Amino acid sequence: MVRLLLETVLILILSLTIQVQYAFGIYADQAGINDWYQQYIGTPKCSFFHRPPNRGTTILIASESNVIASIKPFNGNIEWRQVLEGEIILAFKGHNGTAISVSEHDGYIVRLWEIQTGFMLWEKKIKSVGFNQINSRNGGEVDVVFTADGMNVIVLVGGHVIVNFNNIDGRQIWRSDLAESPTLLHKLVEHNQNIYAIGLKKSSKFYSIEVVTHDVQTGVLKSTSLSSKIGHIKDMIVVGGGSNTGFIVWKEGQYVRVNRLGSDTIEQSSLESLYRNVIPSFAGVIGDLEFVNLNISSRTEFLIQAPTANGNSAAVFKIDLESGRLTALYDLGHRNSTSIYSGALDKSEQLIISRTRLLSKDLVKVEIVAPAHRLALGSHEISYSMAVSGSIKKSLLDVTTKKNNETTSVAYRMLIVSDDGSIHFFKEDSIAWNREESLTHATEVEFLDLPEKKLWTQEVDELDEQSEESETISPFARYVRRLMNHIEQLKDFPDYLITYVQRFATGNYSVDPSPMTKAKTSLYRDTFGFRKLLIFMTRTKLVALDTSNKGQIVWSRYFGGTKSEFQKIFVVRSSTVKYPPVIVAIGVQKNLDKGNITRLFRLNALTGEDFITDHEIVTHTEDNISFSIPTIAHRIFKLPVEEPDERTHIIALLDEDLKASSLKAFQKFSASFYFTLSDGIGGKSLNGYKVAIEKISQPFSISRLWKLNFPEGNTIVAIGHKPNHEKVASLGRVLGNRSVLYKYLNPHIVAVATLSPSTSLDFYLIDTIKGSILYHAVHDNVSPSHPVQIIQVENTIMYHFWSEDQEKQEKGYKVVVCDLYESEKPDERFDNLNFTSFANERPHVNAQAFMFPYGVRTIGVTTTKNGIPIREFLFALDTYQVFGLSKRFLDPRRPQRTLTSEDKEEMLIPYEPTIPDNKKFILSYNLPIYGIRQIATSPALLESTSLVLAYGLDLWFTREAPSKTFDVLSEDFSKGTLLATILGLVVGILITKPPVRRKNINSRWY
Amino acid sequence: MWSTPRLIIFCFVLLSISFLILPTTSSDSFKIEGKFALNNVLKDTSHLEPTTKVVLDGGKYSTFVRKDGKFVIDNVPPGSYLFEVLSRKFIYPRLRVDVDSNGEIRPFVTIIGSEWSNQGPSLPYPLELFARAPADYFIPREGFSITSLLFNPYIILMGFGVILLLVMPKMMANLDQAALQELQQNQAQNPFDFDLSSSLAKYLSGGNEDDKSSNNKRN
Repeated sequence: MVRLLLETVLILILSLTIQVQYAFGIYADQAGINDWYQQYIGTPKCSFFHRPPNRGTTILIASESNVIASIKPFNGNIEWRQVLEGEIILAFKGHNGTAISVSEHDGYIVRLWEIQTGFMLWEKKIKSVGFNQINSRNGGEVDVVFTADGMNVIVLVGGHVIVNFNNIDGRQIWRSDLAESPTLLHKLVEHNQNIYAIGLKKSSKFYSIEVVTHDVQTGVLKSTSLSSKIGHIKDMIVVGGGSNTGFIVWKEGQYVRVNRLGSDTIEQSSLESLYRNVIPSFAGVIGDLEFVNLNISSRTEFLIQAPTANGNSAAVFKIDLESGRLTALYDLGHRNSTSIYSGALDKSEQLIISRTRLLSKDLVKVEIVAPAHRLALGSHEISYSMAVSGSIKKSLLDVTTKKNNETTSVAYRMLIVSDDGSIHFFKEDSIAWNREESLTHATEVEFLDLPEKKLWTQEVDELDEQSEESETISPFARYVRRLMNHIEQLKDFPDYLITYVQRFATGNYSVDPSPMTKAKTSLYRDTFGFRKLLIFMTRTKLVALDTSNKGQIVWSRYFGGTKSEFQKIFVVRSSTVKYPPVIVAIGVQKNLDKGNITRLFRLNALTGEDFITDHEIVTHTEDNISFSIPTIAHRIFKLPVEEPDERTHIIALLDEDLKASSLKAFQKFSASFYFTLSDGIGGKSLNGYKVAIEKISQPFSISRLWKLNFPEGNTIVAIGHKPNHEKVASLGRVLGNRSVLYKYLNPHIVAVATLSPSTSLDFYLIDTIKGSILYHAVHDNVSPSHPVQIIQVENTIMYHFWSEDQEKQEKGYKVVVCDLYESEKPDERFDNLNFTSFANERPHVNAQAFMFPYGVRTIGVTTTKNGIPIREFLFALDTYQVFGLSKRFLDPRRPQRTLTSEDKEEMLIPYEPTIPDNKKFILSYNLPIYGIRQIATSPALLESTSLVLAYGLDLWFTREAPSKTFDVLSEDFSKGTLLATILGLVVGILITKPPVRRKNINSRWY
Repeated sequence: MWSTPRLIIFCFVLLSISFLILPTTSSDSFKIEGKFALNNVLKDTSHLEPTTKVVLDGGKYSTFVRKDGKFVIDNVPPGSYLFEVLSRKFIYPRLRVDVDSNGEIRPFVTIIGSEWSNQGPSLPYPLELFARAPADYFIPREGFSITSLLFNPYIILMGFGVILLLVMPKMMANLDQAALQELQQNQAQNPFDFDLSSSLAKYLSGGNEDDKSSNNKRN
């Protein structure tokens, strides 16, 4: 009876301890400690320095990523930004305290923004009725002008429609629709209450200039055409406007002609006289003259530049306001490399022009001139690495006049956009700041494990030597060397001790006790494997970031000089062996003359340098070393087999003619190499292929095994990807009554969603070996306006979509989870010992739908080293946040009844139709992570923890423990209390010892 | 079964319904207007983030909030929409907004997961959005508290041990002679008879198995 009592009480206590607390969310003081965040804006498309009244200068940028932002010029920090999702920004202009943007998305949208705060003041849509949409894609047909009094803003869109808005409230004053006319308007100029729209009319071979004039107040229209013949749009520029008269300048044959807007008179000057007499440096010109518009409001100065045999020449011209004639202001002279020009006004309204060019691979020269006074104000040499950023594409100048005692000097600063898409800010003789905006173009990312520190030092001193060399060294010499090494390391010991004690006291394990942390040059793994390299691939660039150190750039390289576009990047050799880790970036060069070329760049992943081995044939192009294959890679695979000599993974390329190339070791593997091809999103069918093994020579031929045509009209809207190397901790799922449901873990399974014109979503699970459909589900009334997302992991497939199912009376986001099991009944498995796709066995699919509280852009899932913790799905939300939801919520086995004790033991949550909208589930707290395209995850060394990276526009990195950090002491664990308790016990023992001893002795006596 | 006038009325109703359902071929589109109203959660419209957006049907139509806290969604064709506010700072309720072909706009309260035909309480138009609460993403850190200490399983275990120490002798004293003898005999044979793992397993498996089988397994 006593035993029974004891047992029950014990069990009661144990069951209390088993009651796991579900504490989700993060603590406020953890924010920014475990995670880091980088904000980006994208490569500038339209940018300008703007000085709002009574405030400092800001840089306003509208970018290719469709972000508008205000940047502080002195440190490059973002003051505010707005992302115009799904739109294309066509124009961006500032006026006093406001800026106007014109973007395109199902018509045109005009918005006015407050520069100080980034708030929208008004928004107007211009409906796309009768627009020539194709023309507007070319850009240039959208223009914005503010009237001189700032009351009105006139917008030209689509080359045909001019709308006048009230600047204060966005009221439309008039709209002029010129869709009927064959003239395509390009530019707006405002002067003296008139709006001039300058357009080109195509007539046989040439264009002729048309000017359409509107009255600002009434919108009354008048159209004039100028007798002109223009070969190309670039041969015409429009200058002036605002407080000055506007002029059209164009090149016609051997003459440059000028028209004063509002009149019919045309002044002309011959090119020949220009070459001979006025601009001496144009004597050597070999190509066509090119107009460069400096885009300075109401000024009539502009540049003409021309290529010469070995560089270029340029000169500044001005239209004289009185006579309307072209006059040459200043000859910028001939330089040996192509230059980028920009202009700005100083405080006294004097025009300053900058000329920026690359002197060598790592030096840029900036020349500053004041053309009106024919003065060279300064020339600066700035170190700039072309190997990192490529050449200079755009420059934007800002000048301030400094008064130094009696001499006045001009200080300049300049925004530079380089070929890789990043921003550099020059100030005097140095780069003040950089913004690595090329990361916004990242298409792929790889996590790279760093080598262990021990391996690293060993590699440096011993393993690096050749075998012949190591034979010559005597064991004694080696011992002495080792000893010396250890003595050398001893000097770091005090530091180590201090940090160790510190770490012990504070319990902060992010501080690594080893002194090497300070030397950032050597990359090695930290204790828990949180430190990895993130290698981003853009079309033309590779950038490696360090996950500790808040995502600092370790190395970056620009490959634009090779004229190839990167398709794929792989880590082909990890850091576990004594060799350095190797990455391969595969680029495709589409070359019409010489045929297509696929280039493979092999790099040392730790340094970004070319990785060369002795016995291989490589092509040297400029400064990059690569293998070239004369074909275009259609699809690229990293195979799970290694080459024995080099310990590198093998890559298979599938070319356009559907022939596979790979290395020798591939043969062994090829028998089981199956793959699928589809046209991707928007495709209509799925094909399964296999490599034909009868032929042994390269390239291997492949044969199609099956083709799956989706029903007529259906297009693929989403394809799931099974992670390549997935660790599954448990083969089955243990139920409450100790029976097991065995997971269906087919590695060759792909989930495909197609959408029909009648908006029904078909979801298929397809076996990629034999092309059979394992599962098919249909959802009616799925709106194509919101993308469908699929994620596959282990035996789970989940998809998310926007549903408007009228029959089921629902409207909202829906998520469906399918769990695949070998059998419906527990403890039942397939008969075969080995799993094969050729066996005719189908999984039992257990599916459940839930309403989801948010729209989702992409879905990721945590990965841990052995897959023991429960999976957590990571949703990139429409609110630009990351929502982490445990698989426990997305479980088809959630019972739709009151929980039985078995359900409780299985730790099931009762079914609810909706996923709770709990803000505590949001892992990224209040950070806005814009434009997430992918959420990539990678395991840390700690089993509990997964590294999470969300990228797209912004970068956000964190570590997430889906089942809490069960393998490290929690942060709440107080070592101080523990020590105090032990101390208290010791003191207690010391105090109680004498009386106890006395009592014992006494008991013996009496 | 149907009387003639009833049938006529029925047909008429059907006809009128079919007219209602027919999509309007004209490009009729309307504005949905509203504002972010102030309450003790949102005290000033400048506290809103400039990136706050309102969206219909998961982004089919959307707009940014204006500086004065007002918003206008333009070019909305007739239909029934789910209205959401995308804000990271405040929590706003989801609404259902019906736009009929006459341009009449009727907003309702809605809850996700409820049937769409099940209209919630009606709201006034133009929309007035009241922030429910500021969004709180963090969980409070649990400091030291005496209750959490008391409910710590180890403390409970310790407490139980102490109680057992005090209570056991009394219980033994209260046992009748026969039972005491049996117990002593048992303990003499095998003082470590209490098998934690087997009894735990028995408990976890639901206790259906009888003692015999577990004994057999052990032997």
